[in-house]
Amino acid sequence: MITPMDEKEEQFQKVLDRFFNQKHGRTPFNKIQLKAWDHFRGLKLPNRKTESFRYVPLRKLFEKELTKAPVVEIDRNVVTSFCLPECTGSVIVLVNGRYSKELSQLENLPSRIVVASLDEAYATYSTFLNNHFNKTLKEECDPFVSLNTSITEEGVFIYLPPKTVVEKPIQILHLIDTKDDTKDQSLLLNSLIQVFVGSESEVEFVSSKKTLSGRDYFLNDVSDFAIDENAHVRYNQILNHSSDSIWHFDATRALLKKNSRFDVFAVTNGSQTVRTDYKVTLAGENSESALNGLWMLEDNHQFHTHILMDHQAPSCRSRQLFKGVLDDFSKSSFEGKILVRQAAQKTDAFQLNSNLALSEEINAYSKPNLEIFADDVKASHGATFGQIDREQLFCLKSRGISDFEAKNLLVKGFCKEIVDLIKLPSLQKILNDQVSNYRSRS
Amino acid sequence: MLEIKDLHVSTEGKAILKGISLSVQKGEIHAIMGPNGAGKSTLAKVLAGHPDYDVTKGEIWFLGQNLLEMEPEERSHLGLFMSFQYPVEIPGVSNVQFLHMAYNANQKARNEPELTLPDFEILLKEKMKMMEIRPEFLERNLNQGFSGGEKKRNEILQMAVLNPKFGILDETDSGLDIDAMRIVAKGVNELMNEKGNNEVGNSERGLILITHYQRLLDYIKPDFVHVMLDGKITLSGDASLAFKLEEKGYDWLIQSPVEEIAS
Repeated sequence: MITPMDEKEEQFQKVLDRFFNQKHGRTPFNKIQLKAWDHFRGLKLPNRKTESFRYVPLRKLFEKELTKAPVVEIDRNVVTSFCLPECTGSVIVLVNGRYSKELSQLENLPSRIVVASLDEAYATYSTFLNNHFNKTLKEECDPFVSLNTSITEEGVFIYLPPKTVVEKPIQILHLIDTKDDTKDQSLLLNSLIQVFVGSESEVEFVSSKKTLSGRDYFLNDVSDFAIDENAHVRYNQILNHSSDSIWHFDATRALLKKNSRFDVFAVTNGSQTVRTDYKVTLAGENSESALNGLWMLEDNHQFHTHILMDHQAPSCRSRQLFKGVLDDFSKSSFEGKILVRQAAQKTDAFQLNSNLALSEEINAYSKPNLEIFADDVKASHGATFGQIDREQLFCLKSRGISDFEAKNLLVKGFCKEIVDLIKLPSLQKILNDQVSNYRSRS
Repeated sequence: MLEIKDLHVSTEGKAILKGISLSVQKGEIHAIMGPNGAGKSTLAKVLAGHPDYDVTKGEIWFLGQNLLEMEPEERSHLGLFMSFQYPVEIPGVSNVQFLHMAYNANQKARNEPELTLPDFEILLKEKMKMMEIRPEFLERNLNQGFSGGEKKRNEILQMAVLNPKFGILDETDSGLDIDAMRIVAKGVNELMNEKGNNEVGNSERGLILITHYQRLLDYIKPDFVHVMLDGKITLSGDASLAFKLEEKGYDWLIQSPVEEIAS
């Protein structure tokens, strides 16, 4: 018998209740967590009617019997082997979602940068943090983000004082070592990264995951950026997974002050379900954000993304470019909204989602949205769906290139626009290899 | 080397070629002329193996092999090259990437050594010089943002790099100014006369030129000129036929070809 969805949802909620109740309300951050939990209970878990989760197979998630991730010991050398060459001595390590001070390698970071666990940071920055959370908690619409805040343990606090220009990119390395997860007992790994970037500071982050053991877990990650005037942040997300049965929700929040800039580059191969959720608030005049994403899906992998680009202040610019390649039975959805509020005159906003289908059995949904309340605005949005172009394929084949190689070359060409935006050489190589190896099995 | 026998071709149920027979020997240049819609480009695409056309009757043999059983890439490996009338643009694929891949794919299929990118670039730059193509072209996306003349020159560059035994040039002259035409013709002539590497030597190659105008034929001398009308070759002759067509147009052939030939 099939269990009705409400019942599954209820069971899942009970599991989450247990997570919350395991926490002890002693630290100052716990007060915020309590508020986040109340907000989460008010939002409720999404269901099929929730627009932003419409294509996400929640039933499968709600079936999971989630347990808490174990605390594990990991050798320092393991970390070194996963460091990008550009990021030596500039690596923040999380193990199973918890910040690991011992494994992090911060010796090459400017000494003025503060990297600490959220609980630790509360000792010095409590007013600062409370102000931030009290503002953002209420506005949060994604229940999994509120859930994350309420149950997170050892979140990461990163603070760049004003005029801190970080030469080396900072790698945020998520190590996953779940030992013996099974289909019935999945682990919930929850990570929260809270970044404050002071005025006129510049920094680049690279976030990536490495799985040491485990293949059936649920990652619920949140990265939150508060970006002060004239500051620049680049954020690269490598959301690749080594197993077919992983659930991964990854939310990015950014609040931009005057003349600041926030750029994102995300790439994923999907898994059972990978979902990204972006909310970028252009709160200060002349601020700017570019969100770029690339997904290359095979088998029955799924990827979903939901975006809110919130233009609150005048003369801001935003650009969204999301490209998907889908093969076999894979599935994707894109739902993006550009919201231009009344005050946001002289907005320049662009949004495009392009999809390339390599098989007849794929599903790709796209819903670009514009909601405009200002009258002096330049905004455009669009979505495209296509297959390999017959004339292009014929052109390549007529020059002696095999059908397989020709298709790969065209897929590469399709992805290149995003890959070229990545600046770090080692990261660009990883992406180029990923594009080259895509479809290599077939 | 190329033998087309009673070729009938249709696309989307519409008959385009209605019985073409043509034989091209080594060292020969054949020009095919005719008005728009006669089926000239269809013939070129069918020879190259375009998937949109159905061969309903007839045969094509190339170097003793049945061409109709081959994929486009296999035809290329065998030494067949078609220059596109409308070269396609491919975003995200650079010229050098494309040419290197095409060169090595052909070398590999012919059991000849492949070249590394730096070695290939030496070969490519030499050919580019011949075609008067600027070096910055290498990193640009294939045909993207190229002028009409640049696209056509690029087609001939591809031919020079791939060094085929048989070329089919589909209106390579259209849209070219006189300088570009001279360069294209030079490229074609050098290829036709060049001592090829290994087995292909002087006048070992064949060429079909599809054109509207006699103009190109001032630069590339054909051995035979054929007129194509409504899916058939209605008249064949030597190079002088091209001048006659230039002077009189095609109408006289459509109205009363038989009497005219008789006279």
